[in-house]
Amino acid sequence: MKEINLYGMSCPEPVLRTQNELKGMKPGEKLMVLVDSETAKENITRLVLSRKHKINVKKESEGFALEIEV
Amino acid sequence: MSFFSTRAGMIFSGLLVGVMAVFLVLMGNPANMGVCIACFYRDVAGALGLHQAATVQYMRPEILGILLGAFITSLVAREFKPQGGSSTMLRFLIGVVVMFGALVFLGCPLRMILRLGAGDLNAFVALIGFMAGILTGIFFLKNGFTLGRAYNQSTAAGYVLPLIFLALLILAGGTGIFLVSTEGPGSLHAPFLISLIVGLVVGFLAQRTRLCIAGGIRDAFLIRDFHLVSGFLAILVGAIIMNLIFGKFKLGFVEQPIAHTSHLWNFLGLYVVGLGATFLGGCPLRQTVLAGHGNVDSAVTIIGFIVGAALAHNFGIAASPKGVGTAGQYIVVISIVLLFIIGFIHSKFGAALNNSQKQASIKG
Repeated sequence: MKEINLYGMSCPEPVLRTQNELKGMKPGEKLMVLVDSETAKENITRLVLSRKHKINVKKESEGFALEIEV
Repeated sequence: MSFFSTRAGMIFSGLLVGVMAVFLVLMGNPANMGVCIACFYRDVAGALGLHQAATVQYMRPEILGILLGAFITSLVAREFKPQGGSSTMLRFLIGVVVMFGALVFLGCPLRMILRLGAGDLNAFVALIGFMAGILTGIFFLKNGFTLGRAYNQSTAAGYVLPLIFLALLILAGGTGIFLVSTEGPGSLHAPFLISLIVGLVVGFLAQRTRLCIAGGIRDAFLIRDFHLVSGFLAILVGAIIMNLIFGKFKLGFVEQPIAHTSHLWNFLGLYVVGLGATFLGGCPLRQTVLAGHGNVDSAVTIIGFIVGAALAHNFGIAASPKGVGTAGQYIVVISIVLLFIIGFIHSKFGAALNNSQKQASIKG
């Protein structure tokens, strides 16, 4: 599974970079996105759910690991 | 999911901000200036004696309250996170020019909405400019624009600006050491405690909902996400309803309070703000809230706002109801050129010239 680390990036870079990754993915493929702010987590979650993909949010010591399935 | 991260929570918060802003005008604030981030930093700069414009000096409790409200909320919600180091000096510079643009229009994006909500059509011209600025920013974002990552900072660093604001608040409430206008907008203000409480509530709501005026338009265009823009529209609706109820709604371009009718400069003033705010990752309100979160880069951006406001009033850059002076016109054009240079250098066009591009592409 591909992993992108978006720690410390300001709006809207986390959600924009996630969107760019999702564009090239096929159904069933997974993507791991690491973010370190609540705002980035919420924005990406909204994006993923609006595109009818699945997301699993896991809290980590420094932020969140978002597992996305297209 | 908490109420405030839902669409209903965003709309509720927006309505409340719009209603409270007009309430502050009824309680004594300048017309259509219940809450204005740019105007209030300018008044704070004046209260500190950083500029000599006698009509715009007052230590506004609202702006201190917004930052402190966001600070307390982020501590309670365990979201306080001192971070910084994302092109800090560039953010300072962008903060300065965003303030220049706002003071040429006579208001930040929030006051633009409040002016629209009172029927001031000059604010509609400014909205078009603001949107054009954001679209320009989106062009750079789509071409890889980034100011680079922020990294964790010491807790003490994150506390600096919130504690300075707390000190200013205590001194403003308990002593008479700050300059206060005896005429003009600076002399018009709601009672201290009412201003402070509204500021704290706005800070709380903006922290919980992540409300951002620039972000609303940006997300609608960029990722077809209408969450933030629903807050924008709710503020507008709240303000319109209150202005209609209290007879403060007056549709037109001329004789609007604390406004001028130079369409070109209203457009270009908020063009600068739209582009600058997109580069910063948020409007002046959002920068204030982020500084309350412990974001050191946003704290430096706010120092940029205050320095920009002081320069704008010391050198005749700020507009007046009579219009925009030559200095303001020069500065707006220079600001646009400067933002374009930053945009080019920090996107793929100038990837060879900067480190933030390389830094952003490091994985893991």
